[in-house]
Amino acid sequence: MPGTPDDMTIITKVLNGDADAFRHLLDRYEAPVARLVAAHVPGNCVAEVAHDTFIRAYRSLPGYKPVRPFCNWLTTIATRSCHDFWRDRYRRREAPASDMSEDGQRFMEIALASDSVEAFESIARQHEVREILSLVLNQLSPLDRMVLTMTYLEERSVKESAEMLGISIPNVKVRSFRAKRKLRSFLKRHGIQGG
Amino acid sequence: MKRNEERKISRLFKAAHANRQPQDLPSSWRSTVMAGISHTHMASQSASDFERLAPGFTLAATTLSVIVLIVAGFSLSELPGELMLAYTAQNFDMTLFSWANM
Repeated sequence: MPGTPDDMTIITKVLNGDADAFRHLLDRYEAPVARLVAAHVPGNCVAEVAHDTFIRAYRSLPGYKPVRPFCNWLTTIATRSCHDFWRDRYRRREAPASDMSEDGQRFMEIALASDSVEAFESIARQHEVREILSLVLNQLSPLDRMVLTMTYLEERSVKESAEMLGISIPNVKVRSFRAKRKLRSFLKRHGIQGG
Repeated sequence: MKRNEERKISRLFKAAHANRQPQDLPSSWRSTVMAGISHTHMASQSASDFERLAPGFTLAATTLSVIVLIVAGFSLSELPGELMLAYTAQNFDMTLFSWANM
């Protein structure tokens, strides 16, 4: 964008004591950060986690090394903020693992019985699927939940997920495998054979 | 059949995840973040001021302590002698008392 300073110029200004210059980074990355956060946390908590992400980024700015783009660095901070959100939730027992209701099981049976693409896509848009998905994810630990969301639901590579979460590649592989197995056994327990 | 269902579940969950509506952040959100940034900035400024002044404070406190110790040593230079005298006198009195009671 013409007239707008690049990331590094803004970062240098901020590091030289001009905290107001951070506003440019906020303008530039508000939408991508909100999008990423919305993919991981409940809708009513997106603002809080996105806020936390930018405050963390500001605090960690002296440690930023321009060997990787600022956008990627910020994405990593946002991902870790989401992980911390779930850790906090689990610690306060606000994400209880519970069983699927009979309505949920019936809904899944109908969804799996649908043959046409249109019917299937219309089912996928219904909030019941999101509720079931959230129920499934609640069965996992905060880190396994993040790993499964990134590698399975978003189809990110193992390497990318590992970098964003700050864990090793074998760790992502093990967690992904374990989370998928848990997901299958949860669905099987509720009579959904494909799980 | 099982594999087909597994694929369907996978597609269903992926579609549900992709259909999550991105939330519009409230209009006041940006100013709240900037307020947080400026609060953090102020806190780090005062912390860095403190860090800058800390060696000076340490030097001043050490100098003051040394002066107090010297003055105290000078004023109370006779205290150990006085204490020793009082202690000896007390012991002497006690010895006389015990002899008298024998």
